[in-house]
Amino acid sequence: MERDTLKAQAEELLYRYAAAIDDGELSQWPEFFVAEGVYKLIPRENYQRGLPVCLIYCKNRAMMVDRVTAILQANQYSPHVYRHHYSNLRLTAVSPDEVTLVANYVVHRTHEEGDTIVFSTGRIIARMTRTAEPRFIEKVVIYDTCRIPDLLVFPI
Amino acid sequence: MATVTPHGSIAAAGETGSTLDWPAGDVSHIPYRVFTDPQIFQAEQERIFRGPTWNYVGLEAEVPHEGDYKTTHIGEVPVILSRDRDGRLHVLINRCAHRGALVLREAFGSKKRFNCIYHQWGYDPNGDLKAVPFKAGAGCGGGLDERFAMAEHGLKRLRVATFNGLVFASFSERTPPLEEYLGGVMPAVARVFDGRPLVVLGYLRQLVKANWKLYFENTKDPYHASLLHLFHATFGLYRSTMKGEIYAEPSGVGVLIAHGGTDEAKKDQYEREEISSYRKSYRLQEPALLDIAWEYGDRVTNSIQTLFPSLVNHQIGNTIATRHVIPRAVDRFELTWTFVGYADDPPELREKRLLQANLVGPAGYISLEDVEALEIVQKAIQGGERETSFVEMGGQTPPFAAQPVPNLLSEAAIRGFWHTWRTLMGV
Repeated sequence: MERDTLKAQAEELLYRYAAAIDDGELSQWPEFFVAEGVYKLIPRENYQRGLPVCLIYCKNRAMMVDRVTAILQANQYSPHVYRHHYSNLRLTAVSPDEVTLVANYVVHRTHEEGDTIVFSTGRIIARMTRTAEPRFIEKVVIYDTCRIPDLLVFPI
Repeated sequence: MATVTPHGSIAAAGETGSTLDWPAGDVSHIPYRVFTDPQIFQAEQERIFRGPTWNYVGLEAEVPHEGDYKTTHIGEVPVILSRDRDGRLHVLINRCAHRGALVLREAFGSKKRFNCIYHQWGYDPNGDLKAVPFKAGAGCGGGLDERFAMAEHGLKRLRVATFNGLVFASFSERTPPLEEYLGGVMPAVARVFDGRPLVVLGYLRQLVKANWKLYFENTKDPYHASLLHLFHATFGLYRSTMKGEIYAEPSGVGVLIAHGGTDEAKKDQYEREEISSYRKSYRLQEPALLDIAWEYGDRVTNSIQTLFPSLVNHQIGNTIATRHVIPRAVDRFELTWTFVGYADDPPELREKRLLQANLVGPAGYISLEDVEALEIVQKAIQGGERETSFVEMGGQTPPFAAQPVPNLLSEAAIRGFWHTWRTLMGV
């Protein structure tokens, strides 16, 4: 029973996170993490070979705020949106303080011109707090689509 | 296949009147057609990538042990970088001598014998053919003629040259020695690739919808760097008001260097000219991103080495990478970023390299904007094949006569690039 509740919480966290990025509330993105939370977007080849370089690496929430500010105020890119889809959600570890979850994802990217592509697919390994409003302690997004089409702006 | 016409233009066979109308010696008006014409792209494969140039294939650190290999490309040609049992490096065309299949398919690996799966012809890591199944038939005819010489059917070996861990290959016997090819750019390469053992920290890859030459224009262009990139201008990683220099060799290699902290008295010009990429009030919540450790006894924040035709190296702060430019079609190239550190990096420095990787690569605060710029050029020049760009910041000539160019507001290195391109292409 408790595990079902935790799984529902994990699912809700993933879905709210995706909605923030996909539907225009990017500034909320850092709020899905604890203050010392870590975000890594890393290609599968690096992850498998133990190579540490990430496409995006935020060692705390402040770095996520900086990423959002750059996206909204500094960086130059053509207008586009994401659409996240999740599947195969599993809880792989449950402790009194945190839950480890894994899930698969697909992100479609649609440019303003109207074309949609499968932009990225891969899996997520994340740890979330066991609190009334769960947050990510660490979220590692391991992307299979290692040859990025064009460039990447928004986090996954 | 494109052919060279007597008056020095490229003409596409069977396409009458389709010539590149470009006055001899002009390197400041670039016909947009050079970025859009598939015939020119094909001619470049032969005259540049398979011509008298040194092409980057990888790092010695990627193939440290005997039998180690990496597969990659020189232009469109698939190649293998391998290390044989004597520790020698080889660059082999990844095409079976029998019927042309890829011999190796993985990006990286290690094998004592490179076996083609199609008919199991097997090669040593140095390219020598060692196994041909049923070579003498099976007792009732067939097989190869007894005069068949294994030694004549190895994988094709290219010339190989290394420089402090960087590995290059050339199809041509006419390519000058690598040191000569690097020329005056060698000290800038040796400053970062100084012979200390390197470690690979990871790979980032992207497919850019633009012609490959636009990337060499971009990385030889000191003018755009603080205008396109807010992070450069605002945080003083690079400003054209800084002390800096550019240098270009006739071989096509070059370097662009900026010295941090040298424009305190001049940077207000960005405000006076209302340049939007300079924003005094812009702050980071996590300043650790830009907490640079000075590693080389100088304050060079940016060193971009363009090793034509297939490599751009960067040192920006503490991030170091090779950027391998692999042309895929006239309007597509792949960019592979291989991030490195030194084997003796202390952990704090290694962490800086990983944090500062956020500045570069396909999602880099700086580098993502370069790809955007290239792609909007490629989009905009469609239908403009008879028009040209205008490359006259700092004059109309290549910089070869007076180097280094002591400012960061000159497009001389781009003109140098076009001089090299025209010479190699014979146009």
